Amino acid sequence: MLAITTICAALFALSGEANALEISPEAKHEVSFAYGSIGIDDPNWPVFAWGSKMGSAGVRVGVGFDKNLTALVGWHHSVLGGEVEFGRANQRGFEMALTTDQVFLGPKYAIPVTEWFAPYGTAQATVMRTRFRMDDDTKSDDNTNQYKNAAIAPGAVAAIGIEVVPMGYKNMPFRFATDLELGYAAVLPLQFEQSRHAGDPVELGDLDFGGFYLHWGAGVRF
Amino acid sequence: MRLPTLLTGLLLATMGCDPFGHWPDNTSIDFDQALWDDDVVAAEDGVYVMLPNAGRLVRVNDNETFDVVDLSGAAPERLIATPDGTRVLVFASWSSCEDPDPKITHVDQCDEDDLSENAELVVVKNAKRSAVAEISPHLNALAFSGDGQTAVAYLDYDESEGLEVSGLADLGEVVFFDLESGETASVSIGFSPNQVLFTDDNSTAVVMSRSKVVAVDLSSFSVVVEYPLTLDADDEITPSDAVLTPDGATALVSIEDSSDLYRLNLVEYSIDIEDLDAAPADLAVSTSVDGTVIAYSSLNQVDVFDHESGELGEPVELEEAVTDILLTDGLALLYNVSYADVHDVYLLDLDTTETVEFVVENPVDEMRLTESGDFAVGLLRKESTTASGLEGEFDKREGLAVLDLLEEEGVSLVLEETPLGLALAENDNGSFALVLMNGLDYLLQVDLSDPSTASEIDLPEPPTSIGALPDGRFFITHDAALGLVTFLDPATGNSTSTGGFGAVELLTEQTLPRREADEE
Repeated sequence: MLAITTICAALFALSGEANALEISPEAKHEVSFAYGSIGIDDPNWPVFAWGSKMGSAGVRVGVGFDKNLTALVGWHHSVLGGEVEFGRANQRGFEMALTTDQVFLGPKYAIPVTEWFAPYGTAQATVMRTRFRMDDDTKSDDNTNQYKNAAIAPGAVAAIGIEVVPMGYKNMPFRFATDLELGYAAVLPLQFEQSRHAGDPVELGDLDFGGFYLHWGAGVRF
Repeated sequence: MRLPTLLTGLLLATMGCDPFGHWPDNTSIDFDQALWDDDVVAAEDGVYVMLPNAGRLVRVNDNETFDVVDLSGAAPERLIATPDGTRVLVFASWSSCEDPDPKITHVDQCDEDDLSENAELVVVKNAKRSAVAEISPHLNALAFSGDGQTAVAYLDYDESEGLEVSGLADLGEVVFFDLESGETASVSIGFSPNQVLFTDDNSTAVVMSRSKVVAVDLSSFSVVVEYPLTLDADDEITPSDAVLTPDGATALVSIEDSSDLYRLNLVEYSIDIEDLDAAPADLAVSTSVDGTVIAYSSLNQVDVFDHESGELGEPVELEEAVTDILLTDGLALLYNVSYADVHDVYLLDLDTTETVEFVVENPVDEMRLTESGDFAVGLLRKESTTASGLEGEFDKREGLAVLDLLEEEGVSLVLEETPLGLALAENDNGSFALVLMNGLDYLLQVDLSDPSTASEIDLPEPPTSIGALPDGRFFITHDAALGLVTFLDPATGNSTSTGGFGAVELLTEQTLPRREADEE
């Protein structure tokens, strides 16, 4: 839903000038819907999702300076979680959720090989903000044990990728494009605390993201 | 102009979304251990709760806060509060790894052959570790001296979940533990010590074991005298119950499946055996008549053993047998929790030996006396029956019996759901029974002077247990995964709830504690 809305918004924003433009093969700016994945090697991760990665969706905007250099800004969002049960302990379970927003900022340097294909490299700084929620009575909206805590951690991403920009129709104001990049991400541990402690906050634990990084985008160049 | 327009459009589009309004279901995981154990203990400074998943201990306070108790990495396994409520004793264990490799920081990094478990007994006071003693891991039960200064740890085999032996274990040892200094003294008593009594002056502990009773001097922790319960080593004489006379001079010991009542003179170190009419089911010492009331599950009678004369009085005949005794000033409440067809409860005047008979609708499961002794309240269990009509309806349900011991009247009430706990409270407004029932998120408050009138006290979540705090208030634990304890003042009906403590260190791996100490 978010992806469709995003693409529609982009087209809507451009529609006023569509008929007047003829996009150049060296379109510099970009807007794309993105799917991302970042690795996590943390024994507590299975309470949020299967596997050892966090998938996310978002948008990426690029402002091109020339045919090689583009400044990228991206935002990714992810909501993961599920139910924790205590079948063997014969106790009622509870819900956990991790809502993550990640912002990326950095340059992309592309080397166009043809009009429609360009390998590139990118290095981006990132900030990850994660909100951790727990609730042991989700049917009630005012129960005592509605717990949430947010943590922020900086990180960095380095990746290489390829960009494919099929030739567009002559009168279209943009060209469709897709890109795929793989690399490595490192993020400082996200530390969560229990704030209802009598003295100093009590450690709830941490999540340690980092490792394999993947980004796939589909959007437009103009 | 195109780029700013595009960015504005994107921003408007994303602002309309609400990505936080639901609970995802990407995964479902089953934890081996609960986040918290609702088998809590109450001390005067709060309620202490074990967190099995995190291996931590917390003190839950009545102001919506809690404290984590630093046990130096040890995980609590069992809690017992001292009788005066000033301290909590914690049976705790911690893992150590013989491999000195500094890279080994977590339990799962240590080779199984190098991993060992250590046991200790920790005294916690005001949420701080005040004293600690290493003990054998098989010791699992405690008894306290009357002054609360000395604890005795021993193995209660019936309560143990598999015997833990580290190297060599003396299953007959008891460990005396000075709660102030943390000093310990181990005394080998005999096979399977199972009950410990203390004299009123706290000078002597009397420890029962199979075929032997031992008196231990608490100043030197030395055995003063041993009382063999048989002269034939092949005989197995197992004490079932024991009491001390108010002057501390005599211990009365009943024997499993035997009508013998042993009288151990703790002053002159002599033994007499009283032949009773049957094996006693319960013993209770009354200071008001200086005698011991003896109940029999197989006889429709009770006896009163006079301490001064050393003689049994005339048996008090009853219509039905009783298994349990509760004492109040000059009176004994007698009831039966073993037999499904016994409905009688008796009030025995220990001076006159006159009895008052109450008949409750269903068999008694548990009986309590109010502090004043004016009322007795019992939980009644379901009864297997073919009865029809109103009696059949009652038999199908658990109930509550309220006995007015002053007016000598009783009433049996039907409960909506299975009772989870019962607590009694007395204040300026009267005497009340507080009843928790399974699955109901309210507490039933029954006015004992008018038992048909009950009020409901709303609770934040369905309860699991209720207990008394040393200051007269009550705590209630709830069926809430992240931890929830309610503190209730019965005088005012005011309550506060503290939750969330179960989540402590939820996302933390189990590390090896005291690693530096190991290296030293």
